[in-house]
Amino acid sequence: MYAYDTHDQAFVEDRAREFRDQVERRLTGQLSEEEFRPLRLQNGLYLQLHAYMLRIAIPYGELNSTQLRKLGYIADTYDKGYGHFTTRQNIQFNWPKLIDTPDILDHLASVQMHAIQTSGNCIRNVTSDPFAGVAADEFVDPRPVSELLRQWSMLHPEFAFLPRKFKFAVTGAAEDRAAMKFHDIGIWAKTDDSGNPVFDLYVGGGQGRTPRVAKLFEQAVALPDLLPLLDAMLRVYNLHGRRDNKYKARIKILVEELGLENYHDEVRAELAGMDTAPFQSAIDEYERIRAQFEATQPAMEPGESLDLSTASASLQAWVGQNVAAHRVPGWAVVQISVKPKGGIPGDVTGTQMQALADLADAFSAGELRITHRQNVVFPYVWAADLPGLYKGLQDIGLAEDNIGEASDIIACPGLDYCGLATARSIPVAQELSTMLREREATDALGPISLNISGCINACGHHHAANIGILGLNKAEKENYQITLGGRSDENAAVGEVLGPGFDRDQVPAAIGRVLDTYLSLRTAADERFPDTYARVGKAPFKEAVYVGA
Amino acid sequence: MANSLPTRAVLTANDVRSGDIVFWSADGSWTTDINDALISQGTETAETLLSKGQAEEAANRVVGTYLVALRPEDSAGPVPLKLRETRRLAGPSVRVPAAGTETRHAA
Repeated sequence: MYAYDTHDQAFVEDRAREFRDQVERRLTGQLSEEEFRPLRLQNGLYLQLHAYMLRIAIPYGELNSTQLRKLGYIADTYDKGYGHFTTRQNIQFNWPKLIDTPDILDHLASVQMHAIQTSGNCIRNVTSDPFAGVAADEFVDPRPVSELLRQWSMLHPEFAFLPRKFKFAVTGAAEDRAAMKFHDIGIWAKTDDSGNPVFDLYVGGGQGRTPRVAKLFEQAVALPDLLPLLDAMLRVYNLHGRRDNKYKARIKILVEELGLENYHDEVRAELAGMDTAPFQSAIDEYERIRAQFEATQPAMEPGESLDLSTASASLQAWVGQNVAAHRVPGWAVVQISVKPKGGIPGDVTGTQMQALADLADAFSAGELRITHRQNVVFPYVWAADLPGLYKGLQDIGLAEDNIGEASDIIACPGLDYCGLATARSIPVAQELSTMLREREATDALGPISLNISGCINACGHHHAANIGILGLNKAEKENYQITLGGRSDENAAVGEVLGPGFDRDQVPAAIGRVLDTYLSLRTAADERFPDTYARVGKAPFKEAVYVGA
Repeated sequence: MANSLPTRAVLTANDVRSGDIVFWSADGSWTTDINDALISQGTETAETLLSKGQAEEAANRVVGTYLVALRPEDSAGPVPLKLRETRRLAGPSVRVPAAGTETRHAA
């Protein structure tokens, strides 16, 4: 994985020192809250429903065991013993004290981490495919370009105060596992006929109150042209984005109001007037980063797949559900579900973080990934080690065999933690996961995405789910709206609202009827939920949920 | 302004240093227990409470002061009117582990 150079390290240490000084000035009254607020937000420190919340960046979701151990230490020392993996592949702590945050940032800097640009109207943490570098269907490892984007966007002087926050996702495989088309700019890395990386760019995707699937902007952009073009795209957005109305300030609205063609013309005109010479160093930097990823990748000699014929039924089920194809035969990409039956999606304790770090050292060359579905991936597992890893995960309660199933629920913190939420997400997820795990044992539902957001801002990605749930406040009572047919893969689609919302205690039964309808209508066991929905439409689901209730 | 103020309310904020939720108490200090909070009766005392909050923010003791509207007086104790405030007061409705003492999600 990428390791900081001396410049990176000095930078995060300087920023931690700077924030310590800012906190001291806040506590002594030299800075008012009005003056301090933008400073703390630039370092990922929010004030949420109950307390401060610190969001820590995990660039493209990649962590090493030392970093995870440090996060576990922070959870146990400065927080309430747990953290929450987010849909931007970050982690957030819900209870830090302001007086402790300078020490926390020092700890983070000591393991090459920080919380910069996890808030505010800037370029946020770049997300990517959690299988990067090991996926069997990969064209190009997306991590080098993701890291290049991280360096380019970090404190970019022009883009520190954009009209609104800005999100990139990068993927480089046939299957989009990064929800690339639900981002302000999505980048799909491929190769040209000579094997060189080229990039398809998508623009104007996003969720929130105006969900949009990103539109194809340009195809096969060569590496030397990538950063200048992205710079021009951001410049046009920075100039024309709606600063007068925060609900219309994202680039998706600009692209829609200008029209894709006009936006493209403006970007090309901007680029034509730019001095692109400074960007030429990015080509060398890309090569330096790529070489570092390659050099630090563990040696993986091809081997045999694991013979499971005499393995326990539970191990067979776990391998069948949670292990994905690796590009090297005899190796496995292991997806660790952080969605146990009745559990809290994406929450891990400090104890579990320490244990996961030990398991990553023992079974995955000390590396792991956080996924936007709030799970963990071990990318370098020798197939023969799968039983040992499974045992280790059982010991810490993280051996649920439900990756990709309906019970593998994405949920935002909702009104249990978030100051913006209008309803709770977590208890709904817990009730549903209990119901769904029982159903999945008998019904062979197949892969289904079920996502829950606690407000229209859609941090729980409900728009992008096969089955989405949106929690609202209706006359001071929690109310839940169901959407169907969304998907976040390469065929991305926004879910449709099924009808009027439900009280919380009605949600499991309503979801049960949606699943009954799917099972009765699918033409074969391998017809997936969004395909059935696309074929039959909303009507039979609506009838079953509202009329048949 | 007086028309938009709740007639029965408590003043709340977050402690600057810890982030803890606090309420302005009858004895002129901040408390974490809403049952000890000074309850305004009528918009005039609500305005006084708000002014107190601004002064406390200026003194850097708390951040984000505002009034929490309460249900009518026949309720048992001070009970918030709005869903958001009910949840804020109650804390997370999901179990929070004690630091370092347990494995969350343990089978």
